[in-house]
Amino acid sequence: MKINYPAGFSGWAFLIIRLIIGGIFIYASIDKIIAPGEFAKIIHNYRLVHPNLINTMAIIFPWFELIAGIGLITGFRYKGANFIILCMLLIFIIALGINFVRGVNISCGCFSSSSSANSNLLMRIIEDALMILGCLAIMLKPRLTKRSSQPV
Amino acid sequence: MKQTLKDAILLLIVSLVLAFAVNSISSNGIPLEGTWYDNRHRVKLEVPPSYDPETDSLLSMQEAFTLWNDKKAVFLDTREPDEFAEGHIPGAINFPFEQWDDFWDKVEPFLSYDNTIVCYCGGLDCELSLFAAREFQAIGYPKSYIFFGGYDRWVEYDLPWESDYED
Repeated sequence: MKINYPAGFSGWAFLIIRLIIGGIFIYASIDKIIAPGEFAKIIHNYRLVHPNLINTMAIIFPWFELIAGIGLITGFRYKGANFIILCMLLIFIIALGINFVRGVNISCGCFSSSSSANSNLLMRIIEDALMILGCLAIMLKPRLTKRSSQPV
Repeated sequence: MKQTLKDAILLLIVSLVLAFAVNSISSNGIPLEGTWYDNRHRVKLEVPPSYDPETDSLLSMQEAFTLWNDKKAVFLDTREPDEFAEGHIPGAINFPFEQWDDFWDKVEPFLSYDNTIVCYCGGLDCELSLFAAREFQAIGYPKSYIFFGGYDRWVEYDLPWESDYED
């Protein structure tokens, strides 16, 4: 089997970003897949979702996280996986931001399905913002690497 | 971009199939529609957002006041020390939920397993009292209650309070 190693520093940097974000998403999905009922409580706590959609979201969102995380790490359809993760991060950051502005102390359900797991919303928003930057970098990689390799 | 969207749709379809398949065979699977009340416009709640009526024990203002007045419970203020210092229910002990390990040694001598413990925090925006009471129940203090109205509601009712500051 031929292994294609990334070329140059930027290639490795993009690979590491993919591994980190993919790993975080896989880790974040496990607890929720095991206990979707607990995750549903957390979605309800956000006070943003119509009651009829809560359980369906609790069933499918963790699998989006898992499959997209695996795609990002293994490289299988990784651009699509990166796009899914970017969209999910945007949804998360908006939901967290709304509750931060509301001043409501909620469990974000980011890494655990326990609704009693307390979390610092501002810290989660910053983490999400950093991952969004990572996803944007992966998405714009061809343009970024092309520009940096142009002769000055 | 077109290819990216195609890949994303493929991955979403795979995820959906797996999600519904696993949910249908898992012992932890849930129905597609749950029995949730619509809380989208209720920012100020009368019960904690993650309140579970089967396991959490909420106290009303009257119940909390009676326990405090009769000195039949240990009141734990789960807010941060600076908030506690500004004002708290008289006799309450500061036990910031987010600094559990740092404060546990100070608080444990005041507790016994048959004590009634009342956890409170800032009021209707704060769930720290809920989390603390759950934790106490988990570690073997069965008479742990949540006074969700908290310090804010206590003051609103013009009940006694004390501050660590002179002014």
